[in-house]
Amino acid sequence: MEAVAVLGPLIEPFEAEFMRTGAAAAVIVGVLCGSIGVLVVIRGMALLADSFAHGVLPGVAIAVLLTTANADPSQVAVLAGGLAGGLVTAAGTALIRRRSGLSDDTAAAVMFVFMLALGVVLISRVSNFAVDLTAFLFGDVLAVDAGELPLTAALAALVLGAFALLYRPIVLTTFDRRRAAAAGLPVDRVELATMILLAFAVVIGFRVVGALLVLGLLIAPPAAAAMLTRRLPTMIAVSAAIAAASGPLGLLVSWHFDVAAGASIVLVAVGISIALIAVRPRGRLG
Amino acid sequence: MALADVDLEVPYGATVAVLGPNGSGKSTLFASAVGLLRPIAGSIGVGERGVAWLPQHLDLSPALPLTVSDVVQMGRWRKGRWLRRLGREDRRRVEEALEALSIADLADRQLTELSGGQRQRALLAQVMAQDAGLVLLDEPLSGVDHPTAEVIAGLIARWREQGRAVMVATHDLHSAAHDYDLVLALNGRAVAFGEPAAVCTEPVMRDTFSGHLARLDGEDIVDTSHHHHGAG
Repeated sequence: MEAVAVLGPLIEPFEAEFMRTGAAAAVIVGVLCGSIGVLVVIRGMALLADSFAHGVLPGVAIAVLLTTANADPSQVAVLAGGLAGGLVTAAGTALIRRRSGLSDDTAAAVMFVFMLALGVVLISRVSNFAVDLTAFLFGDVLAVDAGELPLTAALAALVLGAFALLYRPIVLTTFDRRRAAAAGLPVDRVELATMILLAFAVVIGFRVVGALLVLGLLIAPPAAAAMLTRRLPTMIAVSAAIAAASGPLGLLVSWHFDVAAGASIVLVAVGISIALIAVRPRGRLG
Repeated sequence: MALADVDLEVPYGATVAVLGPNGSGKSTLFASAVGLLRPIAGSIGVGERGVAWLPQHLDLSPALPLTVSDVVQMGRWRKGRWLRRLGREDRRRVEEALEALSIADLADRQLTELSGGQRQRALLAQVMAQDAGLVLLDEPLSGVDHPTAEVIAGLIARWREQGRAVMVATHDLHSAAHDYDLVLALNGRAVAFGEPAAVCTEPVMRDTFSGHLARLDGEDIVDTSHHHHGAG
């Protein structure tokens, strides 16, 4: 009985089905973002990840506009729209940079602010439907339908599988694109593939923690993992584990303190990261 | 256009000094050889034995955790084998390269923690592990300590004996004239290509280095362009 008394606050919240479904979705997204996030950190793509996250908004809004007749928007359309939005943002950023000669961060900022504003405008247009801006920006992990889980899991598995297949080409290209080219790699295509993997992670992740906070799951767990290990494969595994654990832990925080779920998940992930950066137990895991 | 009118064949077992001032197209030539740049006209081919390239500067991401051992193992990652586990032969090549560069004791150190000379050795070990027929070294001696420079000279001789073609971008006219089988003089185009005695003449060098020549002791002429900073 004592065990139950201690564990009660940890277990009871998950007796509700929406909490179990939400936790499952958060774990899937955590593993995905925690793994792909390592690429963001080692390649220094945080700004690009952020612009993808903003870029999904108009894509999702258009998908909702097109598929919402009377019923709920189609999840497949939302994913496709989000992905298209992310890729348009990436392409637009590259185009602005090339034509203007402005720096990477300026070009990315111009593009993602545009996409964010466009998204908000479009969403305000469709707000009479079953969509609201808060859910877009901050996620709605507790509203995830159990029926969505298989699709989310399948997509996450697909992205992680592609990452595993491309692991060496991506690491080699990150190490030095000239060296990668000498090894016979089409480096431009490898870099494009890296961006597409990132876009997928953002689109799959934004449903759970929202477009504004998905960056937290992409950056904080790898940063925390980097404090624990100096080996890349271990770093990916540790990062995925931290991000996955942040899901249920964040939901517990959300339940007991009656605060927003998605933001709680990100707070836990960032909290772990900050704690480890403060302690710096570097290299403990080898 | 960074480079035009280059027409040459490099036989296996030959060492080639690629001479030219900064911006003369040395790095462009190497980038084209590995396929990173596509020639606007003409063609460039590398034999079936593959190509390994030691670029002049490495923009190492400090966030990419890699040990010396990881770096050398990456020399065994190649086309068609992106998923295969490294086998016994791969591990033997990695060990051999670590030994040859005298960095076996650094195997578990992070690349970002090493000194310039140690880092250059790690990258050379990666090049060695690649076991390529054509080896391109872009200014391999710039900023390395004397012992490392000697190790590099030894490696070039060893690769030549093993029947590899080795092309070395350099500013060192004296070394080009004395230490290599062939010399390619570049200045946006191939000024001359052939045996050192035929290429390392004052008229050719004047043409190659235009305003950047100085005469020392009435004997050696030296390139002064590398004292200015700029892309090679």
